[in-house]
Amino acid sequence: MERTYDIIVVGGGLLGCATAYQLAKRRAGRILLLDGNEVASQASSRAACLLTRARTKPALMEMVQETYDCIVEMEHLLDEQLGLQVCGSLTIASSAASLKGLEALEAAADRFGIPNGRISRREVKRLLPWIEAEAVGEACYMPTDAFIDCAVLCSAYARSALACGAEVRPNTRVKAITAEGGAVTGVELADGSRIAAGGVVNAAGAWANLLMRPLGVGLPFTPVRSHFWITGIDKERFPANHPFTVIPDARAFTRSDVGALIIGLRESECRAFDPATLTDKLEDFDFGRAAEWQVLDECAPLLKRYLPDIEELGIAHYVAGPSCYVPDAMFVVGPVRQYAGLHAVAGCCGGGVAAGGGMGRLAAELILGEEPFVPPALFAPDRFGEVDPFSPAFQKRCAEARSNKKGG
Amino acid sequence: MKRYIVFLKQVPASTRVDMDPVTKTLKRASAMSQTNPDDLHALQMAVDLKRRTGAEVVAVSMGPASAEAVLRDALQRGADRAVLLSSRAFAGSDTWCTSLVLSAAVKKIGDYDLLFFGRMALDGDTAQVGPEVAGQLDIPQLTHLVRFPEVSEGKVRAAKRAGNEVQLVEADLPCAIMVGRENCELDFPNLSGWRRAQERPVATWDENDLGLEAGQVGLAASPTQVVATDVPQRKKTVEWLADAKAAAAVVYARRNV
Repeated sequence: MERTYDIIVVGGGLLGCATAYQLAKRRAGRILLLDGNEVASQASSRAACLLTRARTKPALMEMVQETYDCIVEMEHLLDEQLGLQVCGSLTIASSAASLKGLEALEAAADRFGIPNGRISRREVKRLLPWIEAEAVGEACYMPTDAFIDCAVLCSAYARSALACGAEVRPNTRVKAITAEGGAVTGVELADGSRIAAGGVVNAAGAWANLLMRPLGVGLPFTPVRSHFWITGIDKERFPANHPFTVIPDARAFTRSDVGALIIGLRESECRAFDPATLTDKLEDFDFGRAAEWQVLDECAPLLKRYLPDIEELGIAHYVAGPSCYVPDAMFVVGPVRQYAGLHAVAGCCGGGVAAGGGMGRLAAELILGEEPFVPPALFAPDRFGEVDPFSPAFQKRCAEARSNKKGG
Repeated sequence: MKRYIVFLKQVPASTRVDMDPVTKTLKRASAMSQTNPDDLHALQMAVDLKRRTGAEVVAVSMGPASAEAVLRDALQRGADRAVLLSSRAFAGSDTWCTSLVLSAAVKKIGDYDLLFFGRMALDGDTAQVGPEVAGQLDIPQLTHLVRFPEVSEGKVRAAKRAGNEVQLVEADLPCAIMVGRENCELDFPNLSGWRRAQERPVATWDENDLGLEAGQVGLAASPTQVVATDVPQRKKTVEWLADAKAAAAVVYARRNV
């Protein structure tokens, strides 16, 4: 048995690294972060990186704000710039239903003090040279929205945790979370060795339920394929750092990417994966290559109103990854009540980049018995009762949470 | 009408590929796949030349049924028609047997001007198949190109690297050209191309269609036999030390080693 830690965080993605940072900066004792691969190398490097501030649920806005605060904090701590791109965002509504959603978003932004305002089609066209402005019904501009390289952000959380005294051990696969008498005792590594700890945080993302299975507990989420397409470079049409867009009527978002356009699309029926089928590294996992064109084919007619030449645009890259969706599209953060000392931080619902700092903060506050900054019941792991994340019926519910998503 | 024939191979897209323990060949169905990168450049060169000279571009792949995916990819990227060479009899073919099958397919397609091959496949790394097909068909071959070739008046002209020199060469058509990634830039595929590719038929030919006997091809007929394959193993022993004092003790103990 190796030395004893106070808390072991399993998972070196955004949520695990953010939690390790939030724990370490609170001087929560001896913290160890473990990941089977390099830090930030799996799902967290396949995100679209949007930091959308306005949400209809106040708790989510608090969590996103915490991420923005963490970025400033970490830039000071590490004495380096993390490359936050404050490009602003445009939410576009062209139907009665999406206009209603837009109005709700504006009201929420107003209550939270997020700058926002409607802009004319002419102004939309100035900001987005690629868009067919006539298709835009109403557009709300939020100038303080930003995006950030998700791998850089994740790595910054890990390095900040290190700077605050945590240990980070990549390429160290955790085989099991160990428990005795209703309480966690640490982890067992793939090589059979054990590390003792009074607390374990399961932040293993898409793999988290594989660690829960032997404990007889299911966390209420499953990996669901999310994906985006990156066009070839056209710096005039897709200037760097033009605002990212959310277009609910097209089930789409876009953002700039060094002269190319990233296009995120949501198919009408999203695809969930049984976590038991996941490979150790996502590069070996087949998300369904055919989806690159099949989903684009399904979604292009909706986006064509705004981007008329979508069918002729050269696609340079297709990026697919697992987003962990929860049936109510809210995160999973908090204690796993069946085992003393066991906590979960997972179920990002596609918002891990934006809300990761806040999810880590809530987890740290709950672990340390501090007053939580957002209502924890919204995110309680047991709020659905007993669930089986390995059952197709539950996986379908999780996929529907993404299918029915309204925002980007 | 000119005819350019491009050969494309389906190769693993992941390093996690199972091996057949008996034949020591890749179990291709076990891996995610992609079109061999050099072959995409060969296709691009054919499509670019077609834009200049007018031609029919025929994409050909030899492999299991799943290799149809690389032909759909080729159709999306500008090929006009596609032929899959697939049969259990072809399984385990080495480069010589493969070139026999491919040259039989060329003869069946007939009336061709240029054959395009990727320089080498990233799973086999032999760079033998293209030159072997040229040999089987007894036509000239161009390798080590440094510039995009010109085609006119029944000839192909190209610059090729020969050691430290660049040679300007001219060959009669038909001719086989080996293409590397440095020879042309790929166009990005688009949705219109994909839709077009889904509507096109892919012909499938086996040894009977090609006029070959089953005993001429496949593992048993291959002069090359793989005896064994091994992945180099790197092992290291790691001992975690409790603190700086323990680390200092280790250094002290080994100071004269």
